[in-house]
Amino acid sequence: MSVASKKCNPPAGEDSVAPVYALLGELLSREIDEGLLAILRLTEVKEILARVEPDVAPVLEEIWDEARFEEHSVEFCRLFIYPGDCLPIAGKWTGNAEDETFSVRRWFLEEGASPDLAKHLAELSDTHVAKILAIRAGLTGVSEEVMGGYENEMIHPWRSAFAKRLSECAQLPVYRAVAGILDALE
Amino acid sequence: MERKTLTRRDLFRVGGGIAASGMLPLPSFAEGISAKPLAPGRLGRIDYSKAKAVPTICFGCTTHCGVVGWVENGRVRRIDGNPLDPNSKGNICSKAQGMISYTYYPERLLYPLRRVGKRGEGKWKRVPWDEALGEIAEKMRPLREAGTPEEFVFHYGRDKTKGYTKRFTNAFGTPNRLNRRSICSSNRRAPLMSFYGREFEWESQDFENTQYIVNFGGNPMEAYQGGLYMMHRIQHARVDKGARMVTFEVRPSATASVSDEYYPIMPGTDGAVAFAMIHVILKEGLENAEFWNRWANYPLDDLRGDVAEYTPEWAEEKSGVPADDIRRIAIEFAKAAPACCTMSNRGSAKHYNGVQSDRAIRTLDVLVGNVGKPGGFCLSSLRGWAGRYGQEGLPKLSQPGPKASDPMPWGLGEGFNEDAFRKLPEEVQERVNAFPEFWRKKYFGELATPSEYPLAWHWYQMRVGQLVYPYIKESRQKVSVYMSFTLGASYGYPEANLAREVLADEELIPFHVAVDISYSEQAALADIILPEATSLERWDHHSTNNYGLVPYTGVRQPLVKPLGQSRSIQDILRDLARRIGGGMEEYFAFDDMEGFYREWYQNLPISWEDFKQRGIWMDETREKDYELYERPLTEAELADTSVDSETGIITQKESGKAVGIVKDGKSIRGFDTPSRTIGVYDEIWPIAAKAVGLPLDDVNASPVAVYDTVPEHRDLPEDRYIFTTFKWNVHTQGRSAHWKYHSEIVHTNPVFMHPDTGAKLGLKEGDTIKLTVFRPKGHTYRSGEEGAMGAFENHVRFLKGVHPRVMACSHHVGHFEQGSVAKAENRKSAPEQGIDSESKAFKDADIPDKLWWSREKNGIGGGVHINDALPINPCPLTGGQNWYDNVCSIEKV
Repeated sequence: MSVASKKCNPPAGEDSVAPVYALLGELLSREIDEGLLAILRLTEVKEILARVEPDVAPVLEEIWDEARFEEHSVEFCRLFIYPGDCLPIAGKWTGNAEDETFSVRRWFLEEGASPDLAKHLAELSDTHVAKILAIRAGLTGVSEEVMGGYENEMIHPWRSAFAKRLSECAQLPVYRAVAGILDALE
Repeated sequence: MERKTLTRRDLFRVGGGIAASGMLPLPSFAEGISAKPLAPGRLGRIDYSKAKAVPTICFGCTTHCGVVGWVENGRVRRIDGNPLDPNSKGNICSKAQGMISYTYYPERLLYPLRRVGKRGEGKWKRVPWDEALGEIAEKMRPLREAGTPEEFVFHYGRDKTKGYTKRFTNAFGTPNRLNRRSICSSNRRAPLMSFYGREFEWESQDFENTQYIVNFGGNPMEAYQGGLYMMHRIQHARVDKGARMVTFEVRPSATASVSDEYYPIMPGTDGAVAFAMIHVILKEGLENAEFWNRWANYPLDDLRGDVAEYTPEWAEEKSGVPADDIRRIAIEFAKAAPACCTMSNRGSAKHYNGVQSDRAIRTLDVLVGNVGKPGGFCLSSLRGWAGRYGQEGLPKLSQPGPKASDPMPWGLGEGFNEDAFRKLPEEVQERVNAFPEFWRKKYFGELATPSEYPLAWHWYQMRVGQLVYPYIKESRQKVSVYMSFTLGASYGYPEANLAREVLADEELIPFHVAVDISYSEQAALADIILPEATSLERWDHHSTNNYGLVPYTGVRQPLVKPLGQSRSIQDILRDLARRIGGGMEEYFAFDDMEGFYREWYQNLPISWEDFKQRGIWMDETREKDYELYERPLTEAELADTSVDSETGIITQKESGKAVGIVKDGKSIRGFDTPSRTIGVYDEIWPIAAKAVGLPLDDVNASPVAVYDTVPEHRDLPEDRYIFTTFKWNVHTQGRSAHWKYHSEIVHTNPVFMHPDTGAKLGLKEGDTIKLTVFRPKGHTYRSGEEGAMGAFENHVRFLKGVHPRVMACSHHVGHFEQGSVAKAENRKSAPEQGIDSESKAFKDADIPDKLWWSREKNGIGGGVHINDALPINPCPLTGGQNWYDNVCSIEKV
């Protein structure tokens, strides 16, 4: 049974980090398309990305043709699909790729309940980092205790190791920048 | 420009910017989220009050035991045996748990991938299913429209869809549905079919009731189709009923280790021991002349003459097995009849003389009259339930129709595909035109039915898989679209480097689609990879021979939804067929796969829901398949038949098909051979030899079993050894190296040798050696070429009990793909051969700490890929790969 969900934007100032989690969830779960590129080009986003990865600025400035989109798709696949140089499975970064500690299912009240996510996120394994981050993005309205508990249990244990690996093996600046943002989430 | 750190405020600003843009709406889970996680730490104990038990059929190996999967919160947590399975009786082995490993392997293929850059470069991008199938259909459709469907080749490693993939290839019109049977079991099936007919290409010994087993190189404790079914029965018979098992093997396998007697035997000499046993049985007058005269199609006196010189002393000289023991074992075996049986598999069969060795071994059972008797060498119903021999009275089970017919055979004249035939090389056309009529109607080109190996397709198409790539390279068949399905040729075929060479060549194979669950060496050379659902996520029909001798059926059903975007092969081919169109869609007019299988089983006398709950069905009241050959024909079966007054053979008037035989005035079934008797003598062997120009004095050309030493073993120099491969019980072929726990148990593949052999070579345990394999002799692929075939380096382990002339090494590990577990610390093969298999696995956060066997941690290290060094060596006539004939030299490194 699907948990009731509402799609909304939080009032300014309240959990303003949520969209950052959402963006990371998107970047780690699917290839960059026009829509995602547009978000990356938002002033605030571009500025912060360039702060953590200076080489990303010119990349975001230029016009992306088909070849450029494909280049990033290939990089996405190499990093996160196969050979998966930076496999986005949470447990892998704490020593056991099959560790179910990071299963998002553990946080849903009713047995069989599943978060109502977009298809490309829903089909990910329950310990996929993108799914974990996307659900954090949806925790607007929960208590600080729950939010903090979720972050401490589900994100922080693997975050730094994953970000470090991503920054080491990403060949394109966008993904190095993603690593930088992820690393900044404390 | 230096990288700067971010503050929380920076993140707020970014978040605010994204929110204000409205470009990334957020979901909300406030109502569903728990205050704290529902279960601490790792997955807790299974809550059996909530977990659901779903029966299915294991796919850890080719035995296919009935199992039950426990599913909790949408995840398979554990596999148990299904006690209702009459074959396995609730037993399972570790490979069953492997299904969980491969289903949840973090590096499993979950999305269709399209290559970017050169084939084999390793660069991919994800594509939607629509796009992937669309592209494949665009490549395939023109072949069909142009009348050249044979340019589509479907090559599988392990199918088990029981005809579903054939539905697709037939609908497309290609005869090129290839497999790897010759790599596996052709040489043990051919003798069985020669003796007992097409329906009994696999035996079902009555181990439950036997008193004496003579095992020639079979290893059911570790690796044998039906191994688990056999071993629990064998062990009960031994432990509870005093049965004895004698094993002849080249190394102390797990089966040899639990045998009452084990004899290390010179490879390729099992036949010698079998012939000597025949000699002794006849000399002692222990044969069952009544049974032999009734059912064997060869005079006993002629057999006596044939084996006159095959004395135990002669066999001892050949095999190393003491003559006195051969004598004693033969007598014990015969005296236990009919509650005795032989067992043989790859160990005896995968040699140049292997077919004849197995024919000798089969002769033993006929000689003592144990065939079909309680405790004896029985034959039970096999594949499908379409009313075949031995399946009378069973509910008919068949794929829902309609099903497309087989393509036309290739040849000249009406009813033949002349266009395809005329594209063949001239010499092939000549050979085929000279074939007897009964073969001309079965010929479908060089890939499916290689003309040089007519017994690879005489009974049915077993194919010669290891010749597919050489034949493509030689342009014997133009290939436009090549589809690999769970195929490991690039890793596991002999001369695997040749497979890789051909697959990498975009002129030889313009378009390659690989369907698999993991990124295999084969998938690495594809243009499109399609992720397959695993056995825990799909449907299949199941039927196989029962060692309990009553036919049964089972169903593989999904326990969980396919992960990611993976799909079952059934779904993939259905969707592809619909896209190709042109009438193919008529054969795939079903959307609901469960509905398809429900229809398949509709004749079972239980409801579909009950069947799904049980997973297995068997008619408990049905008689055991003892003496199927003595069963009387029914009136319906006798309708419109005639009897040959000389032979007694009963034939259907309309079809000309033999259905029985008259014995003692009674019309009974007999055996499924043309003579309706046991084919101890079979003309097909010299007929085939003449057809392909094999000299009639070659061991494979004989109409009766004879013995001859494997050509390259004759006058074997002292510094040459015989290299043999073997399988471990925790692995299955090359498919399981990425199963974490199984690779933890067996992750390396040293070369085992006898310590005395090691001492002679100046070696100590753990030393590194270079093992060089030489080209085979005899009438085989690249006959006449001499010299080294290939080499690899590996370390040595000593093991008493290995035959002193044998080097034994398993082939499961040494992968250079299949993800981090499979690649963990694998080492290069010898520089001039094979692949540099260094991988980035050590950078994997998960593996290094757990890699306790690492050399860095003073462990033994990972595996070595060996198959590049092993020659393509198809046995004459059948094409079965002679895996165990390889002659090698050893050099300390």
